[in-house]
Amino acid sequence: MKILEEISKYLQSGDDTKVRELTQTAVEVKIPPGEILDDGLIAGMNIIGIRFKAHEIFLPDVLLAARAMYAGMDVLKPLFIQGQMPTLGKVVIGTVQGDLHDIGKNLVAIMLKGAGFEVIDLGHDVPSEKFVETACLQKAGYIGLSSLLTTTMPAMKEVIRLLKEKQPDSAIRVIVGGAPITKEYATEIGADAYGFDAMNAVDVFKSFLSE
Amino acid sequence: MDEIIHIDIEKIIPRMDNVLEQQGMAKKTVPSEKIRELYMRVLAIYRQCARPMGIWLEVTPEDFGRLYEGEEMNDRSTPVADIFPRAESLALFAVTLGQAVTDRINELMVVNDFATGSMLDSMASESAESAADYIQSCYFKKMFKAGSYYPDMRVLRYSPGYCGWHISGQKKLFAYLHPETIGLSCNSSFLMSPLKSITGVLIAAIKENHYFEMEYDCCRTCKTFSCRERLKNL
Ligand code: B1M
Repeated sequence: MKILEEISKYLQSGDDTKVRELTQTAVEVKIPPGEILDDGLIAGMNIIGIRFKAHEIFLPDVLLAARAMYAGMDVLKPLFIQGQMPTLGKVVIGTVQGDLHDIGKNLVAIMLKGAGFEVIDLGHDVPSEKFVETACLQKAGYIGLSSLLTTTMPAMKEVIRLLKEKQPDSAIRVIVGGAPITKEYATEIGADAYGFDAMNAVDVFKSFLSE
Repeated sequence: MDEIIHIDIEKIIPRMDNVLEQQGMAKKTVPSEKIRELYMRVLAIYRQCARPMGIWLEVTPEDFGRLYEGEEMNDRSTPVADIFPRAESLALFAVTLGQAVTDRINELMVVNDFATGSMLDSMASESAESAADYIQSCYFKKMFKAGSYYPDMRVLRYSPGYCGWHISGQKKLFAYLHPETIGLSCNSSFLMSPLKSITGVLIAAIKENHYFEMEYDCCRTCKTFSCRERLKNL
């Protein structure tokens, strides 16, 4: 449909005003919100992801597109039952206790939302128990942990320990990332996966969908 | 006696290519018009909210030796441990851009202006490095004025968290320098608030005494090798 292509196109150029307007128009002409979301907004964001990986565009372009995506989602959200958008899964994300670094975790959260996940962002300096409590309470499928310091890395292990203690057979996946984190460290602490940057994190989260 | 310096923001504005590099754009990449515009917008915001300040305090080699041991978590051998005994003088330092920059970044992210927020973050990170370089040059100038300068004297900075100096070294550095006077605090993970801040030691020594071979344990895990660039520029 022409208008969905237009939404995708303007999203890719980071024009949030145009995306908001066109999404509104698409709603008015009775295109189902799910279709606008999948074939307009998420389709546009997927192309952005591909072009970014191919080094054709850069982080600022991706973030401008993400803002446009959110502008469109704001229009759609009230149209879904109880404001619940269809999602690929629920992620509880945050920077671990003792760590105030936000920007990397924020980028991961932005990309995850852009890819269609529902994200509950607990912010930074998050107590380990809070990750587990929120994930269980909200019936999340994933916990995403970010840490930028070697001194705060052990908090990730603590979250995993608490999760196993509270729900020994938990299906909640724990994905970790941040500057000092490595794949080896993720394995060592019993995390389910490691993401090295925001784009890679999306692929990692998505890899669990096929299970 | 410590010295507090209010840094002129114009002296520490980072170069556009350095900021864009932090945004994942390789040095030779020509930014699009859209990215240039974004950069200019971010620069204007940055000028409004950054409040760069610095402090230094001279320290004797004996005191620094004790302080450098920190919580006894440094690597067995480190460049700083080998260089500082050969120094002419040493000073602890801290710089910060103030809390308002971080607040502004967070505000921008909250209103979904991710591109501006992220670029402001990169600009502030680069600028914090420039502020530390500025303090380094101020210390050099001070020595020059005091007559304690001679040809081939150079000043180079090192920070806890780099080159085998464990980040827990922040504890003793804070206890000695008291950067609280410029608004800095340090939590139990040794993370400072405001976020865009740097601490370390300024080492004034003759040029040759700064050089070291990359044969330390920390060199094996280093990802940046920025020391090579710094030594080249001495
Ligand atoms: C859930 O799944 C996932 C998946 C992926 C995930 C994820 C979760 N979370 C993150 N990711 C990943 O995706 C994100 C997006 O692509 C990425 O997130 P990041 O947050 O990593 O990336 C950001 C978008 C951009 N990256 C960053 O902002 C950090 C980059 C590096 C170079 C860095 C910078 C820029 C800065 N620093 Co400094 N700094 C370093 C960093 C080294 C590095 N290579 O990472 C690090 C973190 N710093 C370090 C240090 C020591 C320090 N720094 C300091 C200062 C600074 C600057 C001010 C100059 C600047 C800004 C700091 C800031 N916090 O805002 C000091 C501390 C500041 C403080 N407030 O306490 C100081 C203590 C130095 C000093 N003595 O002053 C080191 C920590 C070492 C340690 N032992 O923990 C360090 C690792 C550098 C090093 N030695 O290699 C990925 O990691």
